[in-house]
Amino acid sequence: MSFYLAIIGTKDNAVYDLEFGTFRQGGDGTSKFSADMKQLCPFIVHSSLDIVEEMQWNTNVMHLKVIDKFYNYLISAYMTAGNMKFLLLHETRADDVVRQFFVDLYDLYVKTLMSPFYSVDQPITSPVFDQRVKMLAKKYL
Amino acid sequence: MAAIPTSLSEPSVADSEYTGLDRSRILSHPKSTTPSPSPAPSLSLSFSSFLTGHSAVSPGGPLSPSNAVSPSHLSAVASLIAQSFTPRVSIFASNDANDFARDKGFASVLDLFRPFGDVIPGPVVVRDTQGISTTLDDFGIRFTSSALFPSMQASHQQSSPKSRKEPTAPCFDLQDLDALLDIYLGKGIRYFSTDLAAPPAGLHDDLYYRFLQRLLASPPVSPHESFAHPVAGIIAISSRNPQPIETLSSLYKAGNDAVVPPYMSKDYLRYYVLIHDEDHSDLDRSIALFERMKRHFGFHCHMVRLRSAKADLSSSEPILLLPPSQWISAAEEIALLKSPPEKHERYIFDSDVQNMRAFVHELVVKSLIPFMERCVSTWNDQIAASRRGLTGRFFSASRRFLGSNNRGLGSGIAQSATSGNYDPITGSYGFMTAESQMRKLADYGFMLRDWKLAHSTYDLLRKDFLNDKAWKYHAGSHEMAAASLILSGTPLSSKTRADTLEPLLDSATYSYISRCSQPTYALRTILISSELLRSRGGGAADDAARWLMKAISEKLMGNLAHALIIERVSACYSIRKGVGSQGWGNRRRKAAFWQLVAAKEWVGLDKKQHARLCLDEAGENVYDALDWTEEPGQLLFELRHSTESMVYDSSVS
Repeated sequence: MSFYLAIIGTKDNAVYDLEFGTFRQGGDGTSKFSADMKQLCPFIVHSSLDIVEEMQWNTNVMHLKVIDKFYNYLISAYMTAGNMKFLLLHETRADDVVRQFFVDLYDLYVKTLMSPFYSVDQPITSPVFDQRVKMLAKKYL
Repeated sequence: MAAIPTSLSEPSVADSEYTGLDRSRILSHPKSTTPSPSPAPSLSLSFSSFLTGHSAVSPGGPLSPSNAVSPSHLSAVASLIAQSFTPRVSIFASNDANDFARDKGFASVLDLFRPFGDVIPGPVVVRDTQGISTTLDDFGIRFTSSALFPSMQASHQQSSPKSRKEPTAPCFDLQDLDALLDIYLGKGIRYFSTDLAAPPAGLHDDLYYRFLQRLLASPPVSPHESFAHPVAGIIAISSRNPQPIETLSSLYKAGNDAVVPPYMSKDYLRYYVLIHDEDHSDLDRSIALFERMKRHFGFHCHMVRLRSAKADLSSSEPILLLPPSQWISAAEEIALLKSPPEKHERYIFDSDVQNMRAFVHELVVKSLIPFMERCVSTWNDQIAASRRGLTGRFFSASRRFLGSNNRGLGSGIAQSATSGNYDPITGSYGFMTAESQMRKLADYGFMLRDWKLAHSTYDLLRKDFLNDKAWKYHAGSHEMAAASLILSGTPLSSKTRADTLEPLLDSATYSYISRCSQPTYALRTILISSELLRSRGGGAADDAARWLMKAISEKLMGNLAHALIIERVSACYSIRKGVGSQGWGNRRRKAAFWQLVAAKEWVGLDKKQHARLCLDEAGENVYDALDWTEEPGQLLFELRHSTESMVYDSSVS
């Protein structure tokens, strides 16, 4: 199974994105997307923002669950209090696990945000952040 | 003389009333201008005016992103779809009548009549079963050849019933459609538009509607729907015939004796036409003959006065360029586009046009519509009424449980009580069975645009077909039930869509694809309903996009059509406007995304010019505002690069 994670800023800008695979069922943590799919991923996730924007006003929870799909791929979304969107493209439905993953990711994101050298919507380039996200992915997905 | 043929008196009416139509549908070539305009643009103009009957394709583009769904747009799509399900009129012409048409420069009488059936000039009033009259200004009929009867090839194989399996003719030819699209794209998208300043969004629509029209143009005669069965037959002779009454009788007899498949009824309206040759025949003799015809054959007669001389640019009288019928099939249009312009640019005298219009108008208003209304009310009272209401429900319930016992008992009046009407070997119901007549009732209702009647009848039918396991009928009734439901204008809440429409479309496509392997019909189902849903806007447009995606993932079409339909998904999303100043709930990103997917597909098919158009639009609407030049937007970058040289230029045609 393969995943694509994107953190989208308040102006539809990509703050962070990561493509990874599962470590379960003998996976080695690399994604198995086809070449076409690799290219399309950012666009799919971007197009799902339409649905996120529509849904965010109808609910008071942060985890919006699966909001959209593209053929067999599902897109889960999580809204932060600061209007950042976490979007995860995945293949099977697992709301609980994805929610735990998002909550921990939010924790990481807030810690990044607290850095005096980081401002909202700036791309996150920190290798430590990257490392921690990968560990989260390994833990939950 | 008391009875002057109507065609004598009508032209003046036609003159004053239909001039508006004149301008839009048939290009006039005034004699004063130079008679050598470049043929290509004039042809393209006459083609592109294909939707001009509707106000929606007015300059400016009805679907430009700036304005919301307008009612006129709704009627444009609905009218295109309604027009594709119009009564068929077969033509049985005598040899002398065909000779007459050949003298005029047409292949046959059918060829001459056909363009005039597209839109009936003047309003057509239709009364529905509730007694409410509606005026249709875009009603049309389709003239077809009598050879379209699937008669001879199927008829004499009756001795070997095994070979007469369910007819599996596709609804349209996928290869032809793809080839046609290829030609269209080669000509560039502006080929379809008369308005050079129209925004590209509207141009996409024109191309797509053109494709849809070709797809819907010529469904084959099939047992499960009666749209392609003739509603009327025209028996035509010319004034040159030495034995007119005998010829008419023998043509009638030939039509009556023709062996048609058991599911097809021969109870259609007969209409007798005398073509008077203005140049060679004596008018008094023709009038006398017409009087005799009326005495012999009754009310359904008409005399149309046409000149037999071939009209060309050198003749002294006013002439018009006669465009081909808008509803020619894809194969016919390919042949037309490939032939040199002299071949298909045909001129006709102005007086002939007026007379033909008067003839078609009278045929429809005085004979065809009353005939269909009569059929509808008869069938509705005799067959359908007993099935509706409480007793009808008990009846069908008892039928369900006792069906197998009842078989063969009620052969007479209680035919609807038997369940053995379906013949699984031929896969059809005989034309006298209650099911077949109900289906015809529903189809007539649909053609006369009585959507409520059509929907309720299809709804009754679909349960019967399920019980009988008549899958093609089952699919067909679901398909049309869905279409008539959307067309009837009932508000489609998300609950109605999920509870009513979704299951209808689901079973229609499932039955067409899996149970009777008719993917072309499934594609038709999806394209019709999604187009109608799209015209409703709002959440329905999302559903429209979803159904198109289903068609895409089922791979129901050829390569170019595939890309075109992907592009259409984008159009479904772009129709959806959000609320408030921010447009919450709009789908602009989705629309841009599907434009991008379409562009990728077009590049793969080497249609780079069109791909560039999609890319530019997607970029303009959404992607340019993002700083995605390199990393995540790699695909966009690559596609732009590969279509670099193809920046759209409107001068390319």
